[in-house]
Parts: sequence; C-alpha cells; structure tokens
Amino acid sequence: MTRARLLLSLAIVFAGAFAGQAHADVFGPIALVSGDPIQQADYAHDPAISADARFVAFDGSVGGVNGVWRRELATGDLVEVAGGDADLPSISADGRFISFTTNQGGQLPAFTDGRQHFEAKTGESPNVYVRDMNLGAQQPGAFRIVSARSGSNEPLRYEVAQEHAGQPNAGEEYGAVAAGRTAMSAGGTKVAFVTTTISNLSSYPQLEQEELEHGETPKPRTPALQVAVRDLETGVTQLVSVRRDPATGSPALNPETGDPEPVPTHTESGIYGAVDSEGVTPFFRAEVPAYSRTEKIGASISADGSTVAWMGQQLGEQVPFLSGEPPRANWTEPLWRRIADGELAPTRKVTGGSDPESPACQASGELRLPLSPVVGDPCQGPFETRLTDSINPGEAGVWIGDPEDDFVPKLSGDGYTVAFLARAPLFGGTGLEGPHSDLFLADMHPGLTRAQALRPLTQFGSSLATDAAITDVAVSPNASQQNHVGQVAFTTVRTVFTLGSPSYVSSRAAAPGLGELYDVDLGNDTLTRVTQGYEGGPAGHPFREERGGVEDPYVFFGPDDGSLAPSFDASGTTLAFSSTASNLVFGDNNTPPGGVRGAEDGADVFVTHRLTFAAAPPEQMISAPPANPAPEVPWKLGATAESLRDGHVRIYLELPGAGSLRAAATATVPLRPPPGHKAAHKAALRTVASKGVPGGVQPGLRTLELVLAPQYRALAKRKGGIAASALVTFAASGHQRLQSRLHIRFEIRSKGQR
Amino acid sequence: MIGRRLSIAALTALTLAVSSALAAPVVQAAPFADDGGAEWRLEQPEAPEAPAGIERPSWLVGLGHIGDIEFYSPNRGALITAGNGSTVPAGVWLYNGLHWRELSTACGASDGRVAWAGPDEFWTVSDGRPGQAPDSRGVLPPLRDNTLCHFAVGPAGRFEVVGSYATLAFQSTSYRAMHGAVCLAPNDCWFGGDPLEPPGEGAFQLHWDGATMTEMPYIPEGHAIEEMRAFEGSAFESLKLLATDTRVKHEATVPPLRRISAGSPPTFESLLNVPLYSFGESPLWLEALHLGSDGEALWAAGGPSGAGAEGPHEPGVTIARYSKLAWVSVLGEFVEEPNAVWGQVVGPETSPSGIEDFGEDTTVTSIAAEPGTHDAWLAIDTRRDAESPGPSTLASIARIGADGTITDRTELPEAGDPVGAKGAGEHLTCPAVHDCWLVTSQGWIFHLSNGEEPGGPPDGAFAEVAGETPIDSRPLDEGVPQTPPDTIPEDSSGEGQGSGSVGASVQELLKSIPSPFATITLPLVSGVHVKLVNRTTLVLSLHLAVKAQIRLIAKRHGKIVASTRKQVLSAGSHKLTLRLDPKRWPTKLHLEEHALAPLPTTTTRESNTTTIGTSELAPQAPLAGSWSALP
Repeated sequence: MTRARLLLSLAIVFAGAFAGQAHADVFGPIALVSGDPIQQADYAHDPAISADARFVAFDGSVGGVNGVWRRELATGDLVEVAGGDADLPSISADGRFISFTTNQGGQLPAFTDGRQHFEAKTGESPNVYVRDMNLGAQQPGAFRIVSARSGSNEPLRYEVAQEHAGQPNAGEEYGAVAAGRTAMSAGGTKVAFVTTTISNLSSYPQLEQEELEHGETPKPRTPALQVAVRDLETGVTQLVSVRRDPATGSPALNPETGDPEPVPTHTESGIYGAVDSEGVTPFFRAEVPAYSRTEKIGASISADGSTVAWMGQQLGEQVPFLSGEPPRANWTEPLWRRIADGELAPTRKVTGGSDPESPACQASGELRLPLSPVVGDPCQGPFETRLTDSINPGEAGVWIGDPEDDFVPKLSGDGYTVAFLARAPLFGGTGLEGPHSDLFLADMHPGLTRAQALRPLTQFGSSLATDAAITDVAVSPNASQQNHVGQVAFTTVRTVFTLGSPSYVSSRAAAPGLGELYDVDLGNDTLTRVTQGYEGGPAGHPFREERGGVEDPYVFFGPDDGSLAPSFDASGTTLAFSSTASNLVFGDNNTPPGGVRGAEDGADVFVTHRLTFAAAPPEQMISAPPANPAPEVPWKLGATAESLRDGHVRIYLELPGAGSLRAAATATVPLRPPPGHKAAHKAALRTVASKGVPGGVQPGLRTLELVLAPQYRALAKRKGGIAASALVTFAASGHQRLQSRLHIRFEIRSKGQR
Repeated sequence: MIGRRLSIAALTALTLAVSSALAAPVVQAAPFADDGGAEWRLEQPEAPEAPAGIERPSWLVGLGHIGDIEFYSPNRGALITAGNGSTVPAGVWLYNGLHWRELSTACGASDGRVAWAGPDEFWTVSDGRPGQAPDSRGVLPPLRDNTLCHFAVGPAGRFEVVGSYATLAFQSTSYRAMHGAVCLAPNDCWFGGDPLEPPGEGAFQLHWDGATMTEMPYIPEGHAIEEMRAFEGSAFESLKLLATDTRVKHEATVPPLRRISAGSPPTFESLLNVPLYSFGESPLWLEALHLGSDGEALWAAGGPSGAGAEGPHEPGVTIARYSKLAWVSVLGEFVEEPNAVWGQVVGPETSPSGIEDFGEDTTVTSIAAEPGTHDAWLAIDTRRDAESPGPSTLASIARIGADGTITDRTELPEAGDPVGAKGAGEHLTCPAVHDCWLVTSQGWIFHLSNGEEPGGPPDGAFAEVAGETPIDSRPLDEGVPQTPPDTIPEDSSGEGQGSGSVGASVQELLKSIPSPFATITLPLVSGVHVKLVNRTTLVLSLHLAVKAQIRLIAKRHGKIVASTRKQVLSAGSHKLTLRLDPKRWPTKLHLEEHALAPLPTTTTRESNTTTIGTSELAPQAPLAGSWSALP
C-alpha cells in the first residue's frame, strides 16, 4: 500500500467514526413547559406536541385553574383550551385544533374563562370535543363535538350499563373518551374515540322509528367499548371496531342499513368489548383530585388519518382465528384497521400467539396450535400465549400488563408502524412470562407474517433493573420500521436493557429509581436515556430517610410516578413528556406539602430537543503528512564480480560511504620447481591480483578491476582460467571495516568463447 | 368596628401588577380603606441561587410547606420550611424589613416551629439529622420535628446555629415530635409536642433556662401540645384532645389549654373555663386551638375535629378571647377588668354562631392578633383541604373584631391576580398594626402592608451581605453522647472576652456549659469475671445488658484451641464454660458479642447518676470485645 493510499484509508476511517457519532442521539437541556411566565402549573399531564413543534397542549391546573392548556414554546404564551374537567388532549400538526374529553361539554364556553371550576357538576356524560384555537372560547364554533352520531352535531346519548347501574355519578363517568396525544390526525379533521358504555353510535332505523312512533326517545343500542372516528369536515362518524363476518372475512353488514355492525360486548364475567377494558370499563373521572390522572383507554389514529389502532378484546368477533381455537372474550391483542381502505377494510391482528392470516398457515389446514410449541409451525405467531392464556382466566393474550400502563398502541404517521406493549413471552425465547410489559414494533405492510413483522425493542431480565414495566410509548410521525427511520420513545423504571439492538449508548442510572424517558433511534439503532436531573443525576423526588432501608423507595409509589406520556413532533426532534420528578429543571416547585407522595409530586410537562448533527462529517483537521524521513543507509558493502574476456575481473561495489578500498585475489597456483629439481604437481596459494584505492573513494556504485600479475597470466589462458577468491575491504573513519569475499575467475577467452 | 370593603383593583393596576411581577416577586392586592391603606399582596422571595451553570427560574417559586412564621418585630422575622422539591431546600429564612433571604439550609423541618427569644436570637423545632442506626426491627429513627436549633448572632456579627439539641432514638428519654415553641425570655423557652412514648405517660415538654435544656414532661395529662403562645408573662399551650389520650386528669372534662407560669419551679394550670362549648358538646369535638396574641389579648380559635360530633352539638368555628379589655355585648363597649377574662367571640353561644358565620365544613388553620387593634386575623379552610392541602385552594382569611364582627373576609390571591391559587392559608402572624403575614400550604407568602418599611433599614445580622451563603451545618447535638478527644483541648480560656456582643456571650456561655443531660449507651457486656475450675475448666461470668448472641473463643498463637458454641442469651447474668487442653493451653481469649436489641442508655438526669467519664461508665472488661492475656 502506498503512503497516499494509507492516508486516504485513514481519512475514511476517521470520517466514518465521526459520522457514527453524528447519528448517535443526544438530547439537549430539559425545559419546563407547564406554567406561564410567572408561575409553574400546580400539576400537568398528558402533553401533546404539535407536529411543527410550536405548541404543546397538556391537561392540569395552573394557578388553581384546571383544564386543558396550550403553551406556545417560542413565546411562552399559555392559553386555556378548555376549562373544568377537560382532559387528555391531542393536537393537530399546526396546533390549531385540540381534542379532549370532558363531562362538562355543555358548559365549555362558560368554564373556559380562566377561573376555577373544580367539582362543578353538570350531570353530563363524558364526550370528546375539539377546540378551534383560532376562535375565542366564547365564539360560536370554538368547540365542536366529536363523539356524535354520524351526520349529527349532538353528543351521543348513552345508557349506563347494567353493571354500573346504581353507581353514584355513573352518568358522568361513562360515555365517550379519546386517548391523550394520539386521537387526532395531523390535519385536525379526524378524531378517534371510544365509547365506554352503551350508546346510540350506530343506528337501528326500524327500532328507532317504532320508538319514535310510540313517542319514546330511541334507546341507545350500540354495545359499549366501540372505536369510532369522526371526520369533522364531513360530519361523518365511522365505526372502526366492526364485527367480522367469518364467512367473508370482511366486516359484517347490518342488513337493514348496510353499515358495518359493531362488535358485541361479552358480559359473562365482566364487560369485554372491542376495546380492552380488563373486564371493568374504565371511567372518566368526573372529579379529578389534584395530582391524579385519568384512567387509560382509547385508540390511536395515524397522522394521515388512514389508520386506527387499539388494544382489542373480543378478538373472535374482530379478527380471524384458527378455527379450532376457542375465542375468549378476555384475550387481549393490539388490533389495526386501515380505514382509508373503505368500510370493508378488515381489522388485522398486529401480532399474536397465532398467525392465522399467514399464507403458510392457511395452506397447512392447521386448526389450532399444538399444546406444546413446535418449531416451524406455520401458524405459530410471534408470542407464546399458551402460558398467558393459562395463568389467569381474567387475563389472556398478548397484553396482560399493568392496567395503569398506557397500553393504547401508537402509530407512525402513515399508520404502518405500530408500537405496542406486551407481556406475553416471545415464542422461542425463555418461555417465561414477563413480570411486566415490554415494548415491540410491528410492521403492518402487507406480505409479512406476524413473526416477520415483529421487532422487540426491549426484553425483560430478572431484576427490577431489567424487568420493570414499560409504562408508556410514543412513535414519531416519520417513523418507519420498514425503512429504519424515526424515533420511538418510552418510559420505564428499568435501567438495564438486555437487547443488543437497539444498542444502549447512554450512561445508566446506578440503580432503578424514578421512571425515566428513553428514546430509540430506528435509524442508527441506538437507545438513549433522555431524562436526567439538572445537575446530572437521575430524575428524582426529594427523599426522606424514613423511606430508606429498601432497595428503592420509589417502587412503593404508583405507576403514574416518574416520566410518562412522551410525544414527538413531526421530525422526531422535539420530545414533550410529563414527569413527577422535581429535579429535571431548577425552579420546579410544585412538590406537595407534607413530603413526597410519589406520583403526587406535582407532575409537570417538559420538552427537550434531540440534537442532530449534519450528515456530512464535521470539519476536521488532518495534519499534513510528515516529511519523508532521510533514509539511513545501512553500513553494508555490496560487491559482485564479472570476469572479463581479457582475463581481468571487474568488481562492482556499492559503498556505504567515503573511504578507502582494497581488493586482493588469491588463488592456488602450480609451483615451478627450482631448476634441477624434479617436483612436479606442487601448488601453493598466492595473491594473484590486487588493487587498492587509498582514500577518497566516494559512496555509491563503484567498479574496480583486478588484473592478474604477469606471472600468472598464462594460467588465465588455460581452459577454465584460474579460480580465485577475492577479498574486498572497505574502510572508513569512524565506521566498522567492511569486507566481502567473492569467488572469481580470471580467464582469457577468445572471441568465440562465451 | 366598621365593616370593610375590598376596593376593586383597576385594570391598569392589574396590568402594572403583572408587569411588575415579572420584574419583582410582589403582586398587587386591594387595599383596605380604613386600615392605613394596607393591602394584602404576594411577597414571594426569590428562589435560592441556582447551581453553577444553571439558570435561576424566571417564575416565582413556592418555598414548600412553611411550618411556622414568627416575628420579633416588623423587621425581624423568620420562617421555617420543609423545602420544595429540588429547588428550595428545607431550612430557615430570615426577613429584615425589606426582603426574605435563605438563612440556613440546616435546621429545616417537616413542620417546625420558630420562637424568638430576643431581637437577635431565636429557636427552631427542626427535623433530626439522619444517621442513627435503626432499631432491632430495622425501623429507622423518627426525624420529624424532634430536635431543636438555637440561632443567635455569633462573633462575626452574623447569625449562627449556636446550639443543637437532640437525643438518641428509641430511648425512653428520646425527644418526641414537637409542635409548640415559645420564649417568655431568652432564658425561659418552652417546647412541647406529642405525648410521651408508652409506657411513659404525660405530655412531652422541654424547658430552656438559659443554660440547660431540661425535659419537663407534664405527667398529669397525656394530651399532645399543638401550639404555644406567650401572653402576660405566661406560656399558653393548646392541647389536642383525643379519646385515646392516656392519663386524663379531669374526668368530667378535659382542658383545651394549659398555662405555664414562669417561676422556680414553673407552675402548670389546666384551663377548664375557656368558653368554647355549647351545652352537651364534647371538648373532643373541637380541634386543637390555634393561638394568637398581642399585648392586649390572647386569641384561641378552632374548628370541628370531626371526632364523631352529632346533631346540634356539632361545633363550628369557635373563637375565644382572653384579655383585661373585655367586650361586653350588652353594653356594646369594652370594659377594663382587673384580670384578664375569657370571652367567646364566635361560637355556639354567639349570634350568629360559628357555623352560621363560616359554614359546617370550615376549620381554622391560624389566628393572629393584630397589635394596636382589638382585632385578629383568621385563616380558614375546608376540613378536607386542611387534611390534604391542595394547590388549587385559595387562601381564605377574615378579620374578627373582639365583638365578633367579621370583616375583610377575602380570598388570596384575589381574582384577576396574575398568579392563581397557591393553597389555603396555614399560618398568620402580625408583628404590628397593618402589618400581617400569611403563608399558604404551598409555601407562598402574602403580606398585609401599607407599603411602609418597618423599623428602618436592616442592620446588624439582618443586613444582607453580598456573597454570603446560607448556613449549611449545625453543631453536634447536645444530649447525644459524643466521643471526647483523647488529647487535652487547647486552652482557649479568655478568648472572646470583651467582645461585648450578645451572640458572642451566648456562644461562650454554651461552650462553657457541660452537656446538661448527657445520654450514654450502656455496654452490652459488663461484670466479666474469669476463673479456672479443676485446673482445665474456664468459667466466665458476665452480665448482658440486652439479649445477645455470644461466643467465647480461646486461641493459642492465633489458632483456635477451644470455643463455646454460638448461643443467644437473654439480658442478665450468665456463665460460659470452656474446657481447655493443658497441652494446647490458650494464650488469649476472645468474646464474640452481638446485641440483639437496642442498648439501654442512662442520663445524668436520672437518679443516682452523676456525670462521669465514658471510660468509668462503660468499663472495658478484660475479655469484652478484645483479645487479652489469660489470667
């Protein structure tokens, strides 16, 4: 390799190293969002950042005024979006539209007045609304109903389920709710919501007509726990959770209306519907105590409005199953439906214990999974749900995690990448059920088996540091599992991540403590810890020694403690989240009096930015190559010899320096007997030729010719000449004397001889 | 008193207030027309300095739970806080007439109290410092409000913590959590709190006589002491009355208050004649009284305790006043009495009653007499919020006249203020007329002021010094045994003489006073005696202070040649027997010992105990815990 090539290759290596660093994720300082310029919020949750990273909406209390708020990051302006019990906001890409849930919908203009409206009973059911921030709260059209029947602008009517009959305030607790952060499309025109009790979402014209004819108000008949999407531009509300017709594989259609039928509820041992309810319908808190959060439920809609995902139950009514598998109502798996494909678009399993839609499975004719897992089973899904199905009759399927975790699946902007939590063990893994939930991605592009589509992002271990629950997750709109781009953020108490991919590249907390926020960069396959105290330590609360003596004081606290609710802007560069930690920002001062109460340590909303570096290698200085070193000539004497036709021998010399040179050739020559003696065949060693150069010989290539002494010249005329040994001696001042011995031959040859 | 009306702040004033709030943490409020132009305003101190490289917050910061706020004079105030998150550490803040500043990050408290002993000297009830060992069950020592700090001006002319008082945990003599503190004079301070730890009975009290801190529990009654206040040279204690209290002296009724009169010895008087209750009303149904006093009157106010009150007897807000200047309603005027007398200002016997005035679910959180008036300020809250203070509650206050007139009832911050609700009012104090302070449950400070700077510019230890950092440590605790140095201390006699400052004299005095009640842990093993029986059997006699695991080991040149088995022995005297081999005669004996219960302590206060050196009290037996040559 030439020196130039060597330098070039080194430069490439350096550039590659820097390029790698440029793609590793580093997050900048954390800034407090929840508050106005002169006071911090009393508490704040559920931040949703607009795709343009200009606004953050959150719910909470500021200066004693509760509701949903919007803060403009650049100016710090804080605006009340909806007062009173408004909760769980989602925001459009430009921040203009904000959806939320409230059971004070009829009073929204009155309650959005900058004043306290705690415990203001209105007797209304919870419903989902959208606020247009371009209009003042009291202006017509500022608030628009989302949870309405298709074509109607009136809120849905509800009937308290039999299970909740007699429950105080049930009428104010069950209705329709929307998930925080992910319920609205980027344009703000589509909002996904879930009904938590029987509603009039679907129409039953004949029955309703009969009731009207009898002077009765038509009864709500749509089973509870349905997913729907409201298009605010058209006023059309589309039922998303549709009953599957096993015969066609498409949504079953109501013969009377031609509309897809809702998923029936199963009420034998709890309420199970299209959406996960853990058997007990989560209620919307009509009366939100300070610091508390609303229970999780809902569905996510992709930013482009094409796709909806939810954590489903009643799977047998929604997605295909192996024909021999008895569908149980409490089986829980994430479900996905591309509503952009029309009313007949099927609901698809995101993952599962079996993969009945796999072509290989369908070709195999397998009716049900064998009792013991079999490698190569074409119907085996990515999860080993036999274990979870058998543990607890109340919990089964893929998701059997803690209900406090935000289990609503999250979607990328195009809907094809789904992030979800699961606790069932992976097929082919340890076979052990995870103690808490792990985080997975699924690629919903067609042509993939569910196993091919799955990518685990975390994998539990055997201690709190490795198996604490993943409690919340967010996917950046630009994320694509297929193309390996985008971001996935999640929250957990876990500090050690056992998977090598994504590669954990941050310093980790010494011990599990308060839940922290992490970010997976799908592009460079790295996992970065986002949260840390302003002085560099782990996120935390003030801490009393009374709680000492245990491994971790925070494990006593509820799952709402620590970081939660991540939300990305369009590029995945700006990340909003909530946290109960009091040391993320200096000046956090809403820790409640009377000491730390875990999740009640005044949660706040924060924002941080992922620092990105130019894709090109940063400017770098590579010093000029050093000057060529002066070659150090070895102190060696080089010598070769050539016999000349004239009987001379020419010696070629390579001299290391200046000095003196001498060469002498010795040969065995016959001795001539003295006269009168008869003594033939005697020989003796004699110097037959010599030459010396006393001094001044310059270094380099030189020649020297040895000429036979005249008395031996006759010998050179014989055939073969005279063989001799030449000793060349080179001497230079201050150096070792060098000698070289050569075998030479003096031979006088005629022209015809070679 | 004429009823007062809140003036409506003009929009321009609000705008100005908003803009000024951004520049300085003072927010407007409406003035009271006939109160010298005084008005309540938010007067929130700046947040503590941020760590290096971190920006100070641009927003206002609550100080966390402020357990107490007290003033010696209008320009000499102190408050104690539990701190707020990671921004405001627990500690003590000082007011100098112009500003609040963080004085100390030591001596903070979960609740805490402040008692001024002089113009440059005050005490705090503070949390204990961590570090003591847990008990045998692993329970960590309680730290809440069970130690004292003594702040005074030191030789440098600045405040110092000149004394710290605490005890070892889990002892019969351990300090209990204290909720009341008051000084009648620099050498006469009282601190009181929870009932004694069973089997002890009575109320825990400490007394400082200027030189010695002495436990002076009130044995006849076992009610917790909730507040203390000085009036007419006596200390008044309010008592928290519970059905479960032990040693109830008065069976027919129980006293809501106790008076401590200075003297030697001091005298205690349970006050049964405070006009608080309706006929048939149990004293247990009224919560512990909050106290406020000025030179004219002592005020006591409380609300329903929620302890099972029924029907018409359920109490509402109840306020009594104790003064020589008594209001006689039938005359409609004040009458000067030769001795102070109690009168019910608001309560079941007044019209309107306390319930009619304030509602059923209202409780009192604080009361403060406003000097120079016949009035007191009252802070009220709902019972639910008082039990679990929320950040969204407004601070509700009212001024009560001696005649029961309720005026200036308002909520802070007022509507339109740039800051919103900051929690219910928890502590009120009024150092002067038209000069009152209110702190809320979330650590926000409101000031009733007419804008005058009280007492002139700050001077002495109250003046701010650029670059001064808060006190961050407290001295070693008096009352906790400390290992004396082996070397003779340097002779410092004569130092500080002639300094002339009060603080210096206090400090020197403290230095010169031996620990008033040294509490020393007794050794586990004592009374060790060794003898040989039948030439080869060694019998070791010992006494164990508590149950312990014991093993006797005999070694010869480092190798074990004989040992007893490990055994658990109860407290008391025991004998260990060890058979020895004459051919492998041990050269040393070692006693392994491990106490299985907290070691008992003794104090110099206890009878037949004299203050002696540690080595005398805990003699090291020849065999206890160390190698020693055989006899």
